[in-house]
Amino acid sequence: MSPNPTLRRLAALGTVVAAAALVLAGCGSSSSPSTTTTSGAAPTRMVKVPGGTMTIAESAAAGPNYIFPMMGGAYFSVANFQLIYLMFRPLYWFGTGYTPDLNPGLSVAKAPVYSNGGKTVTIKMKGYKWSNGETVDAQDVVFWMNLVKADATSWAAYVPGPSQYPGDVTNVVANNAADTVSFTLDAAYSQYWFTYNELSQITPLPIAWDITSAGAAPGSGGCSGAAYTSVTTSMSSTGTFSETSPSAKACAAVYAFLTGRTEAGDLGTYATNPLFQIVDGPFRLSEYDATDNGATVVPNKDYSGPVKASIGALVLAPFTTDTAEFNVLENGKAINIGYVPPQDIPVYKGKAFGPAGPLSGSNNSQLAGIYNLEPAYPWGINYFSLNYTNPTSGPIFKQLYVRQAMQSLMNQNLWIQLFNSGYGSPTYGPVPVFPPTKLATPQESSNPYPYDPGHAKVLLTSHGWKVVPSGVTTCVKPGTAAGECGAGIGKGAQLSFQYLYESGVTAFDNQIRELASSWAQAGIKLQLEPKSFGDVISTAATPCVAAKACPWDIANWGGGWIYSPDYYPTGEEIFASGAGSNFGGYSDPKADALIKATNTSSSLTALYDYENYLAKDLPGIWQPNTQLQLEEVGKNVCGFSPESPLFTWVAEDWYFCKPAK
Amino acid sequence: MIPLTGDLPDKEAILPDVPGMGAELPGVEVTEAGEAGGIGGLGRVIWRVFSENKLALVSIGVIVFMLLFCFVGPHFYVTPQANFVVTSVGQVLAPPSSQHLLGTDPNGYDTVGRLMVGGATALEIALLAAGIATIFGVFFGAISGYAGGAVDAVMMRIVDTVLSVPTLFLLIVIAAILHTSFWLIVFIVALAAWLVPARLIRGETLTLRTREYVQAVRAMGGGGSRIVARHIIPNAVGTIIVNATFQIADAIGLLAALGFLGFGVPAPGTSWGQMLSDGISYAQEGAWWLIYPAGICIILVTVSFNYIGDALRDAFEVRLQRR
Amino acid sequence: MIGYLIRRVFQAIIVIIGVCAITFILYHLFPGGATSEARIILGPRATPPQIALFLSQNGLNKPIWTQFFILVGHVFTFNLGYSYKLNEPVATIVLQKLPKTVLLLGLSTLLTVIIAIPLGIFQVLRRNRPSDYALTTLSFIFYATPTFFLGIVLIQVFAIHWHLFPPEAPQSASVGQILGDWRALVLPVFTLAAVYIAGFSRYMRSSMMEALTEDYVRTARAKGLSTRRVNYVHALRNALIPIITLLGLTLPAIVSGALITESVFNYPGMGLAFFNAAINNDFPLLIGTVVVAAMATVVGSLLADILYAVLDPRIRYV
Repeated sequence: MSPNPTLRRLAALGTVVAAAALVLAGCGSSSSPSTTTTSGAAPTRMVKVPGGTMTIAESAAAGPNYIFPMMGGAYFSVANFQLIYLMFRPLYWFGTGYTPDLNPGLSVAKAPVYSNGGKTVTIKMKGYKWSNGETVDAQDVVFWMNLVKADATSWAAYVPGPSQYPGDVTNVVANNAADTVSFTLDAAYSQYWFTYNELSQITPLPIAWDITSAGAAPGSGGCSGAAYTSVTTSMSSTGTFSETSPSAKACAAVYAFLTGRTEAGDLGTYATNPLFQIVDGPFRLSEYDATDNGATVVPNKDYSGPVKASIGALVLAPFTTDTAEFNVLENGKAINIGYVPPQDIPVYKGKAFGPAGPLSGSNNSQLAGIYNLEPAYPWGINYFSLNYTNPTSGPIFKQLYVRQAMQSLMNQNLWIQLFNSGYGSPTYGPVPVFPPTKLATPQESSNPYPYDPGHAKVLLTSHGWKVVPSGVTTCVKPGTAAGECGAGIGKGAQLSFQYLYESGVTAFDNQIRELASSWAQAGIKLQLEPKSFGDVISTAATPCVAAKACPWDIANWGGGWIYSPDYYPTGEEIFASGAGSNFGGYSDPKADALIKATNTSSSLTALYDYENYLAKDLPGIWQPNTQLQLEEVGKNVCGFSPESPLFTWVAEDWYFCKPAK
Repeated sequence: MIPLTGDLPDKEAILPDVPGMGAELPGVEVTEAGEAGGIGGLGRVIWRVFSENKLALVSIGVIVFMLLFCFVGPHFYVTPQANFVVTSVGQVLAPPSSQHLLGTDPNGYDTVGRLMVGGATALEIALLAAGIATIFGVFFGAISGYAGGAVDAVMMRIVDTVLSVPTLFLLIVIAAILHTSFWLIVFIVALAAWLVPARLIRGETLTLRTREYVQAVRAMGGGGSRIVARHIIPNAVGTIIVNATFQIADAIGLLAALGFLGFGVPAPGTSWGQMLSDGISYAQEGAWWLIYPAGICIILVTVSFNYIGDALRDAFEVRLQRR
Repeated sequence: MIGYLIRRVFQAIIVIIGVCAITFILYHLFPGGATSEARIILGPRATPPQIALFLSQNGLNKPIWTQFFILVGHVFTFNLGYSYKLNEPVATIVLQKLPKTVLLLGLSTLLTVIIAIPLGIFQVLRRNRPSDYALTTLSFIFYATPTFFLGIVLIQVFAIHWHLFPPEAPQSASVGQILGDWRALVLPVFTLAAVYIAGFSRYMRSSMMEALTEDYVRTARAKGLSTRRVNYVHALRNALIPIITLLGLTLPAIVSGALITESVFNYPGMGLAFFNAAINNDFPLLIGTVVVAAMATVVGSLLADILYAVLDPRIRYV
């Protein structure tokens, strides 16, 4: 899971993670002939034109710069996932149509089988081949698990603790005869959660990578063959992680070699390094430009999956800014698949979703002749964090009625219409409402706190505040009884907050201006302070301690949270007490219990209970999810839709096409 | 203006750091009285030369108009939209009409009202930053030049060092450390700007220091601070004024570039540069009223200050009158 | 001269140490300190063990003074380390980006000089006449137009509307291929030059005006030489001296001077490398680009001084 920065005008891909908004394309598993979706036009039947070089625009200043599937935090970006997954397929592929569901057809293993009361998971491999002839087998899974265990702190997705991955896996054993791998867990977990959030992170690695020097014999590194239980590590009280067993040291040496300055650490040799030409995905890298992170992939002829690529090559074209990308898009046919900022297309007033996927209105008039507009909604939610640890404003935020007043002043649909040309989806709780899945409850989807400034004022007034529209509302009745402000709020306390937000994104700037204006109706005053994405995140991630000046009240990094690559929308990383990305320190015993239940109970009811509670308890303030990607797909490109909300590419389905005679 | 440290230094600023080079500067003709007593007579000469440049006269008119527009205008042109706390979401991106002379922006603010607010911010920042930079730079340069020796060397290395750090870097890091605010931006623009007057005045001081009257004051026991304040700075006033004029123009340009890079004044405030860079995002909607008015304001004011600076420079270059 | 040079080199070393110190101090003033920095690099999901590993791998847990001396040592041995974010040695990144930016700036400076020198002379000879007003106004308008605005307008007009030039700069990594794609260079080079022209021509104007009032020019005139000859030979030659030195002083622009042009025309050079490093808190790359900028500044002003001395016999360096 990861927060993501909003679309930005200039360069600045704020470091971090799944910058989902910046991603260009979704994926689709269907290769049926597509039809044009332009409103009014009758669907045209298209026929395939094999071969050709297809060009897709990379997100601004966010090209791929890493090739090894076990990414460190600095490289944990959507662009890297996109490129890596074209070549190295994860154990389980997620994204079916426009939903984030497990896609058995694209996975390299059959569905996991849970036994022993949910404490044993057995996975049967499909027997796909690596391009060097090796089988993608159970041992490859053990290799990954051993590497992750030995180098946990180098891996971005590592979460310390016993009931978190990989600490919750007590043993992994490969049965080579049956080509199955079985996981033994330290407790019974929700099958949903374990499949979607834990198994989802595994990418089998070829034994040819189990080496510590170039050209060494496959497996000579001694990591892939080691027993999982023999790989042991320790964590000192100061947080220093070290390998304690010979197997662990062997794995660490393999990891150090693979990521070292001669292999994954040498961008210039990515396309020529024989190690990275060993692929099990539908493509392999043929060109890579270290200067601007442009890449070209060509079909892997030995791909064992259901659909082999039919295009001749896929070029990932780098851009410095969205504007530069748009200029090229507008200029003609240099890119086949690009994207547009929301303000560059006509406002759409229709529904966001239909049964067949996202809906769209008319395209930018300059582009309409060449491209079809296809929105892709991410699998995520959007919210901003309140700093509960702030000694001054924390007690105010801890009052549910204050949060309810704030939420009642959020006109989400209006924002989507005004600032995002009608493309976006509201957030009402911790589970995404779009794309529609069985995971969102009717209660959450119905918006527990609709826009109602009058109600916001009543909430504040009835709790002992003197509401001053366009001024600053102050507490006049301190105390903890009914009708009083609440614990820790003194007489004269003001609803005036410092509001950090991500700078440099036009649509987002406009939203924030509107927010400040809207909240002013109830006398909630915001001192707006633009910061870079990284600054907002790092400030918000630092809890306040008493006796030191607390640098923030409210922080909005613009992108909320994208549930990827842990796809089951549970809150253990963002809303559980003390969780790593629980910015602001929301802490609620009932929420903690409900979160724990979502991780351990295989029933969807646990998730429903959790989301219904958090939707109403407002750990942060929900805001619209406008991080969708507005794709411009060339009219001669077929197979691109439907796009998954996870932004991984199933480029083997894409092909050039022309209208049938 | 190449805004971010790529700024072409004004002529004087780039003169090499060698004693005696100040002699090459076009400066005020120093009267023999020394205590800047001849300014009155000189003033007429300066005005005569200045007024020869008709565009400079027009420019003064433009600046006065803009100042009135931005600072007095809001008292006469009152729209709810000009009050930037409350956005009017009912009327967004409306084209010009009798109600909104230049239409509205995506938040429903009236563009004319925003131009006033944004212009006031831009001009305030530019004037304050140029003023602070000039005053600080002048004293820094005068002290450095007058003191000479080790003090001069240390002070000039400080200038070199700050000059060698890209302004943008200072900006980004300072913006991360401190709270973004109006005064922070003034500070940053001034931080980028004070180096030029500092070098300029140092050069001037080096020259003046050797003049007879300064030597005489010194011989009579005049203190260093008196010499700097009463003799050196008044005699360098031409150079200072000319430079300050260009500083204002450059500050407006730098501010626009900062707005484009996402480091402008915090919302709901704005400046012309931010309005322009935001407006460009809406070019596809045909919202010309969000682009041209702000663009024209920036260009008009910057060009005007440049004209004034050029004319002032000519005017102070009194030697030209000997033709 | 030798003594002077030695002194200047010594000064340059001090300036570069000073630049390192400023960068280092500002970086460490960051609220939350190194932990915050690590979090910006590693992302919000970074956990304490991951942050601890990052700090120890990058020596950020050493005493502050040790860190500073290590940094200065690295800078003076040109060991700039590895970028935190870009997965490449800083030296490699600089070597990739520097030629691209130097090329862009070189071409636009050349264009600037070609236009600005005649323009400056013209402005003096036709001072305060309509043609001077017209040309000066034009050059000021280009100067006053924010670069991003000018670039976008040029793209709209010449690339999107008339299809005369491509909307982006050449996308090749090699200088030869970039030069080969000259049509794509037209708009970015002009955008960058447009801003410089006013500066250079103003400078030329002022320096020409001064030259015309010099004694030797008056002497030449008195001797009966034609005005044309006086203007173009004697005065011009002397007026050009400062222009040449000015070129040395445009060197620092190679780091961030072209940032906006680079971003508008999709031409990732030093400016964008620097900007992204600053935004992403990629300290090794940041210090690398800042030091390159400092060196360019120092070398540029040294060159300017030397050229000045060589060209103008009245100047003596002691």
